[in-house]
Amino acid sequence: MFKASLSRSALITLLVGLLVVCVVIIGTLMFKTNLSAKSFNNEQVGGPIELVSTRGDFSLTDLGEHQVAVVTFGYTYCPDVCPMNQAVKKQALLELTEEERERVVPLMVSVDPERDSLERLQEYTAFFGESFIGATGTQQQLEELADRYGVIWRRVEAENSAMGYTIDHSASLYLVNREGDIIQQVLYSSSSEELVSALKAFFNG
Amino acid sequence: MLNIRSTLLALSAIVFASFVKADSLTVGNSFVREVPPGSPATAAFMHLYNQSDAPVRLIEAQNSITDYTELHDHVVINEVMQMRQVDAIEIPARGKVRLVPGGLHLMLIGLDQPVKEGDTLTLNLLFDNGDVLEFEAPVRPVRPMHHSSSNE
Repeated sequence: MFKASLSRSALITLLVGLLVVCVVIIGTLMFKTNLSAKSFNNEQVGGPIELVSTRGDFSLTDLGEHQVAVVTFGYTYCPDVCPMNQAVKKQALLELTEEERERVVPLMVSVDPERDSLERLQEYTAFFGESFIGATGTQQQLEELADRYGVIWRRVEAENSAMGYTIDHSASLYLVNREGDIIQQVLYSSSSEELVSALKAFFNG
Repeated sequence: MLNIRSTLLALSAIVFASFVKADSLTVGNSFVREVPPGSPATAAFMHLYNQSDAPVRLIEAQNSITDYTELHDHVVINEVMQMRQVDAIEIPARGKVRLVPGGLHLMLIGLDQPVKEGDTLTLNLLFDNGDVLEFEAPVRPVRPMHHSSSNE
């Protein structure tokens, strides 16, 4: 009875309607997947790093053609992982030849711009060596940069602590060239071994 | 503010001194991390041993150079470092707890001068059974290992 009452044009309208619904659903799903991929930092596209630094305006494009930046993210309140990361860079530099050493630019990006002034970063990074650069930026700049590098970083309130807040952050080291290509991500370690082999691979590559 | 703080510290030192003995608790491997100038905080690490038949909780700490000493833990989830304040650190009966890099530590907050290798700090720990431990901890630099083997 129902079938019999459907005219040919009504059927076409129904099919077109279904098609539209399908397109909308698929489109929404694709859009959502794209969004969540971004917010979960699955993509590591790298790209430019342009921030204020202890050496004035820092840009990866100022690196020499044969140079590589060793980039970490952190903050000066961090008493353990962040000094260790800098110490690992320092140790790795000592294990290179002088010629190789000149090709490495150690960079720490502070994700605590509210507390880490350039003066503070200057004192902090100089402790590890003359070549060490400290940089930071606005909240917006840092968010955008962290997103491109797949770095997770978030402020966590600590009401009962004299610190006021702490910052969760990725502790990896990134080897990046002047074009902003991430050559290698080295996982956090209290040994310089992985960083040295990554640097050697870059030099021999 | 500082004066009140230091008076309080001095007073508590006198009170602590009257019962410094802590038969059930001992400390070993203590050190304070050397941090770069500009660092507002540093961390103290140690092993705590409990010889008694009941668990004991570390509930408060003080140090000789900063206003604040807090109990913190450090966890790594998917390469993301997360530091959190904790209320207490429990040492099991007849057991030990290790405060080591990458884990539990005391946060010494409010450095107004850098701590350097060769310096020594006094630490006071207060436990929930009323015991107090007072000891000196040397400042040690961050030393990465050449080859990854153990974590200490």
